[in-house]
Amino acid sequence: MKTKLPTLCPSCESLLNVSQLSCENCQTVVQGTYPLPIFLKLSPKEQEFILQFFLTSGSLKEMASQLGISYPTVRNQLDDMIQHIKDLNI
Amino acid sequence: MNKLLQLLKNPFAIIEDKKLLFFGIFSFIIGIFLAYYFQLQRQILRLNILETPTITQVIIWHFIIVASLAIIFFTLGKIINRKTRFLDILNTVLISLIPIYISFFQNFNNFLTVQTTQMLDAIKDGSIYTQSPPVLFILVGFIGLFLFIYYIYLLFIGFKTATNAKKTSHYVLFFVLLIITDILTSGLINSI
Repeated sequence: MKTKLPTLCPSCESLLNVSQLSCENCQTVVQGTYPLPIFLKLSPKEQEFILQFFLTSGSLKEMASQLGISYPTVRNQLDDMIQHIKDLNI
Repeated sequence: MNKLLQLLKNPFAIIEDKKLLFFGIFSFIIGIFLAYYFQLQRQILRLNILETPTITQVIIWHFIIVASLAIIFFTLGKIINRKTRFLDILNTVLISLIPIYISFFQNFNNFLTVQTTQMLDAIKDGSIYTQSPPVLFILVGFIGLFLFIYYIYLLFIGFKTATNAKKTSHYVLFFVLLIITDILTSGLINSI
């Protein structure tokens, strides 16, 4: 089963931080407090959108055709995501 | 079924712009002939029954409606979101008019003309208070109302999709401009 990396606290729904990293080879464990990378702070749907955007070389028209939706809908989704990323104070 | 519902709910979100333009122009031409055949004068927010409009008059009226709505909403769209494209607004206007073209069938066999003339006569001689309108007239009226509401809905949802408008002030501006455009074009259409 492919497990999903949780990004939000199940108790208070705040963004989670990375507090432990481990090496599978030598079992070295690194502890600390690291913020999640920007990409992981986005919803799975937004992450999928970015991946598609990248795979279509940034062509919204091609994305629209692949996703079966219209060009303005894809452009609106992109604009909403840009606003969301700006709101994350990055 | 789900796809059909999605299509009726917001065709502008799923259909490619070129296809929308094709259907829009095609329905626009059909709409002109229907208006001419059923002797109806379409305005942005009203429908008038005329006795003998010429085909040239009907074509000019329809061009005025589409051009004025497209220009006004494109200007508003550019103010709301500079990425707004004229093509998306034009498609919105052309496609949203389809329910209106369907509503032209209300005057099939001069039904609307006859019924409204009878109603106006009844108002004049005061017998309107003692008469009850035919069931078919009420039914046709409700269908016409439903198609009109759907036309406004499509116009609004298409504008929203084209501009990504989200604020209440944008929606208010949209409806205010719709009413103003109707008033301004009404004078122009009636003068032709």
